[in-house]
Amino acid sequence: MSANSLLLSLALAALASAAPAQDVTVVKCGTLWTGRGEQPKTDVVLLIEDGKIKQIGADIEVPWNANVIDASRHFVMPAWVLAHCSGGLDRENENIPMTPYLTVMDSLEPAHPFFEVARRAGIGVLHVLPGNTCQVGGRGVLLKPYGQTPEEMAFVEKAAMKVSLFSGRGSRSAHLLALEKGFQDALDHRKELQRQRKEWEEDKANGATTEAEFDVEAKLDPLKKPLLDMLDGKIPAYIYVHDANDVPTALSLLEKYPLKAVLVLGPRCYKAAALLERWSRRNPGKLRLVLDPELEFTEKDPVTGDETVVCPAKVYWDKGLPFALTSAEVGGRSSGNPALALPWWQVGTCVRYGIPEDDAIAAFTEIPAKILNRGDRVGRIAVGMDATIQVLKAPPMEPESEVDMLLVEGQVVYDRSKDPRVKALTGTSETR
Amino acid sequence: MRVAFLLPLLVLAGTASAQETVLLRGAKVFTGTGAFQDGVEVLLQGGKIAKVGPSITPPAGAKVLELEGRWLTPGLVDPNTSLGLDQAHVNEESDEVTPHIPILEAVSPRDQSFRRALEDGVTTAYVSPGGKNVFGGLGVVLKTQGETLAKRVLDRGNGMRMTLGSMPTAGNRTFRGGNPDSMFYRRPTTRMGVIWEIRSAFYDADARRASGDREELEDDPKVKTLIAALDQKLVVRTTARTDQDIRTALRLAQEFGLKLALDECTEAWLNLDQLAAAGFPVICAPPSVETHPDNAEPHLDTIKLLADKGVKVAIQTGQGLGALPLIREAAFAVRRGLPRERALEAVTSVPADILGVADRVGRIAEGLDADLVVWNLHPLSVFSKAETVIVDGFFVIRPAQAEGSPALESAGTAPPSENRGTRL
Repeated sequence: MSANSLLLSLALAALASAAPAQDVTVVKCGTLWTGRGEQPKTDVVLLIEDGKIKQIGADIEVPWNANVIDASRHFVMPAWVLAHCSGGLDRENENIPMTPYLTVMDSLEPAHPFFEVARRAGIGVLHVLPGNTCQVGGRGVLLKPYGQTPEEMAFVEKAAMKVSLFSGRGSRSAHLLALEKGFQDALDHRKELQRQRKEWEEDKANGATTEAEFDVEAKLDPLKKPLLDMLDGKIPAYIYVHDANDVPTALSLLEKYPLKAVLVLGPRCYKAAALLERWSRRNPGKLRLVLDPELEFTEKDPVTGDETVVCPAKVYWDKGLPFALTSAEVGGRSSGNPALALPWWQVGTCVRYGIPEDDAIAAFTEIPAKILNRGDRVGRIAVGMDATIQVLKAPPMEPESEVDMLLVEGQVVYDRSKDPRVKALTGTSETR
Repeated sequence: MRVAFLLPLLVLAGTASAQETVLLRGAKVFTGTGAFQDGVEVLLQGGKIAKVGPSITPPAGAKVLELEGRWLTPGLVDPNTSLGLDQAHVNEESDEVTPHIPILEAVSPRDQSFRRALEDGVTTAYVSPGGKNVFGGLGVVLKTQGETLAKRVLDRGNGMRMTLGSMPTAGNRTFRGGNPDSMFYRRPTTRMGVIWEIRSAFYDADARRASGDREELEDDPKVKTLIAALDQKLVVRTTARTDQDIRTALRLAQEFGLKLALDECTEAWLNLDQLAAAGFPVICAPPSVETHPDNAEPHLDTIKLLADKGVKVAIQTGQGLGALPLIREAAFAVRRGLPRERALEAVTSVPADILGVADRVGRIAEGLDADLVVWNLHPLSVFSKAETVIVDGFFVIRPAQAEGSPALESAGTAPPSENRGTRL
């Protein structure tokens, strides 16, 4: 069997083994941590109905028809929320630079090991977007890491547009010029249609046209319409900002167009943290930041050769700028370090550099949920919110911790005891 | 910015040339084996550990360091690294068999990698020659910090590197005409060829040993080194990753009576009983790493399985494997099932033992070098940091501010050092 077909069959086996959704689920939690600012509570019961948390308490009567998950020796907390990634795709970048009409839905591979790793890591919500090399790469999808088709996985199919200020294949100025030209082309196209409509209105008044209707929206070029949606702020723009000198460019885009933007900051952008802070003070609540997975960044002084290690997250935290953390795709695009694919490792790195544990965990739960406009549904555990939770052997930062179960909207989408790959990759040759 | 880089400037103001006498007390102490204990105090004197036990009375003039809430371990020992090496120059490609050339000569003592290792709590490291040759050379055990390179070295000819598998064949061309003895036809080109190079070198050495002309041998360091291995005076550091390479290594050991220390052993989960029966230690590949040379298939719990069988296991960060800092690799081994004590032993006392330097480092015991690390938390916590690192009694790294422990600021002598990070 080829490696790929083995992966596929393992992944399908994992899907088949997941329990079907039940209307009523009860999770008996040994320890429950509901989110930032809360103390962990012991011996608490979660009552879940139709995917939502209905009740949290010690004395809850377990309905007779409930599917009971005994986590009385476990630590239960909100599932991780990944605000930006490009995993689980066939290829992440198209080879022409301006492709707003593309959508990740057409490239998603539900059996991709990326989703399997996400389930194993306790990631309950993912926002998969095109990669970082196109000027406008296309639209991303907000999804759960489980399902047999892209449609089954998707919460929101065309959730946001990906824009990149990273000039991977040419000069910076040419890249930025082409990006703005793309924006202007789309706007000019609509202006032209609006001009034509005015003409049509005049003609109609004069009885010079037989055309009954002139709908600008309907006549928009479908290749340009998605970009106009973004420029109008109808769908958010996720702008990849590679370097510190791209930060002013990104901020000028935010001022020029009514974008609902999220800035995805590369590791070197921390040098423009003061600029971001000033802008954020002038435009309260408008700056939404997502950080690249590389959270330990080594710089070498070109003269002395001395190395400095920087944790960009700590720099933003010191400036009071909230941000979402991300993890790398399997294989670690940034540095080849597989630990970067693990949310607990990313959170741990932040804490080692001085960010309080609660804030660091919030940066992988509550804050990305808010950035994704799902702050009222995921990222915390509360009555009325989605039952998107992880069940761990121990608190996630303990060395013995491991995700034993992942629930998305009340449905068990991962169960470590049935994980075929864990079985295949542990034990001796005899037990295999 | 990581504060440790600024520290030397803060603390070197009153540098003395000799190490002070310091009593460390109040910390939870891991002595190199077993669990963390309360109530163990450690007295450092003249760069050595002078006393370990409960309620030590500090000698006159000694400074006392209160370490309530802190965790004290021996300085970590990394049994395989490429610290201080320029990766482009670790393989002598003029010959496949270079068992005698010492990697020490390629170590750059002020390389920043030593500073990084120190910050992660590693005070002793094994630096290995590259794996491109069948016999790569002699490794060196040295401290990551010290006054001169000579003073840092614990053992300059430690272990003869032997590499099985595809690495010594990588890039070697098969014969396509011309002169087969040309330098462009570097051999071997197959796994069989690699093993033949090993056999042929040992046969040759064995014959020379039998011929008994000791004087002549003095002029032939290559053969002399191989004979030392045959006489079990030199450990053969054998890199074997796949199932068949591990089996071959054990077969060669039996055939020539070698004393092995096995490196990486990625597929050791397939050979647990054989490894346990052979009794050789295994210096395991870093458990966080997912892709390995030779297409070897790692198992999540290999280290645990080996430890369960009673095999002596140490954890390495290795050469070019993309590992995390050593203490994080130990924590990964715990995530994969290894008990905490075994994981800490695998980066302190066990590697010191395997490297034959247990009389100097790897444990907190009387008479050993004063190499210690003070951690802010249990060292295997993902949040832990090496706050204070002591090498030979010198306080090489200490916390920047008086964060909850003002005493840390005044006690101990900073080292007179050639390491870049601690220059005056």
